[in-house]
Amino acid sequence: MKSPIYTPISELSKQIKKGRISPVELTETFLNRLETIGSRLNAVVTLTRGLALKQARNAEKEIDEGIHRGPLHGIPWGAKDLLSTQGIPTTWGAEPFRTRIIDTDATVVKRLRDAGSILCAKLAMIEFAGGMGYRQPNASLTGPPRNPWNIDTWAGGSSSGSGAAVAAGLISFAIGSETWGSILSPANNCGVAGLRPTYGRVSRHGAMALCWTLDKIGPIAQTANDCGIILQAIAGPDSEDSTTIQRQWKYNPRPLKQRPHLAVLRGVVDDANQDVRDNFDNALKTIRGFADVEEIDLPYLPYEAITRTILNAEAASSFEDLVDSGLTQRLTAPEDHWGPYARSILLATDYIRAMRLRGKMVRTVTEVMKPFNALVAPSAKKPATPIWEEFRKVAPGTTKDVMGAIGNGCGLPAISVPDGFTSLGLPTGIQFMGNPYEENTILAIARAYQSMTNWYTRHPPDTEP
Amino acid sequence: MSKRSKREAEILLSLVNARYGDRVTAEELEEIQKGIDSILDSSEAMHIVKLENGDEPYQFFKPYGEEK
Repeated sequence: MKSPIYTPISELSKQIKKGRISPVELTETFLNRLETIGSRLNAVVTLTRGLALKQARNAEKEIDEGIHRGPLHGIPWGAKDLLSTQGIPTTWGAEPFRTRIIDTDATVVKRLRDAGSILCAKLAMIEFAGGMGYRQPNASLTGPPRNPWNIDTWAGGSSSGSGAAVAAGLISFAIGSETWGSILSPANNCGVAGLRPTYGRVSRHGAMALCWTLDKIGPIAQTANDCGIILQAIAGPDSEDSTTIQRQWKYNPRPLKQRPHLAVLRGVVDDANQDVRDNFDNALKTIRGFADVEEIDLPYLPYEAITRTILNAEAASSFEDLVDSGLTQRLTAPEDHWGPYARSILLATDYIRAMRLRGKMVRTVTEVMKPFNALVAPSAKKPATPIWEEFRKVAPGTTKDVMGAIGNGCGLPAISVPDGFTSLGLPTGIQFMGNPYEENTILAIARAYQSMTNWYTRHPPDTEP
Repeated sequence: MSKRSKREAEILLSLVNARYGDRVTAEELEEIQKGIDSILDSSEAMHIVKLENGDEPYQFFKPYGEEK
């Protein structure tokens, strides 16, 4: 039988339902891989072996008795370590919280448990999800998160372990979170699929708050189709999170009825790495086989300044007591000791101006995007950077990232899937960013692209089963 | 950065120094200065766009509960 390690959830689920794959054996396989390969990659904070085996035995018993809860029943997963889990440490990637237990399950954890999924690990992340302004990969209590494609490069962040664990076949899927780039970055660097849902689609209850109006939780998996399956299990209203969208979301795995109409922002690849540009150009040629693609301009607004000001102000407030307490002096990255100080002086009037401009930004972007099913762009402007190298030498917010600014500032869904490799063998990604609430549209486009390419079928050589 | 912002940056840096000066080195303070400059650059960029009196923040406050 084909190894289950890189098997997409849709296929794995069928095998489990038919009794051809045992959830207990599958879980043991992944636990062993997490323990051995995971520790080499610095991808795991806590292995939840006892809980996982208990959940796996329950799943196996239920399935044997003919009870099947759905496509995630018996499927192992890993949680970014900012999701609270009862009785298990939740570190937020930060050394001062190495043994801290928040004794409640996040809504996402509860929903996946109810779906019959098996929690195998709390996965590594950048300390405070990058909320202290880190500049280099070594900003996590578990060490610099290594990329399975080349362990001397970075897995991306801040959902670093989530990206690395899926790419290395240590787990079937993982949950990450994004405030600005934290799902798309590891998906890009590790060559996997990462879905950032519409703001409010997934409850943030029980997750660390970095920025209340920007934080989103979403899946990282082998394929776009898997991301849709997982999103259905975790999406939906939650009385514990007032920002959740009140309508239940259902995954539609069917193709779009009409040929998609996509747009590329003029100049979006101008400052990208050459390999990223080449792979993006090739991807567009493939995409033109099933979609119309048009180059467009966005009217001028200071997009990065607006979203960055919101992020700075909310992060300054959400971590104010923690920073004042001096606890940040014990963080792993030296720049995170003083990183949050600058934004403590941000004026309230600037935050409110940013929130007022956000209205203009939302209306402008929505109007521009209305005729299109999605914007297309590289997921990141460069592939994974060396593990000991600063990936930014300047203060956060000074680099250009219109897609990140409008996507996160307007709460738009986006999915990243691999679109090729660099000359050094590192994956690059392409993102499809949709109109609000249109996850099914971008998933359909990403699936169509994946059906015409085989990048997602390639796996890091040292981790092949 | 404008002349006005440069002066503001100096004042804001002294505020950071007053709050956290005992925790940072001179070198780190220089980096914090760059962070403040970046925040003020964003502020300047946002002030280029004209806002009308009725342009409300895109965040809605609503009283707790529902009307019966």
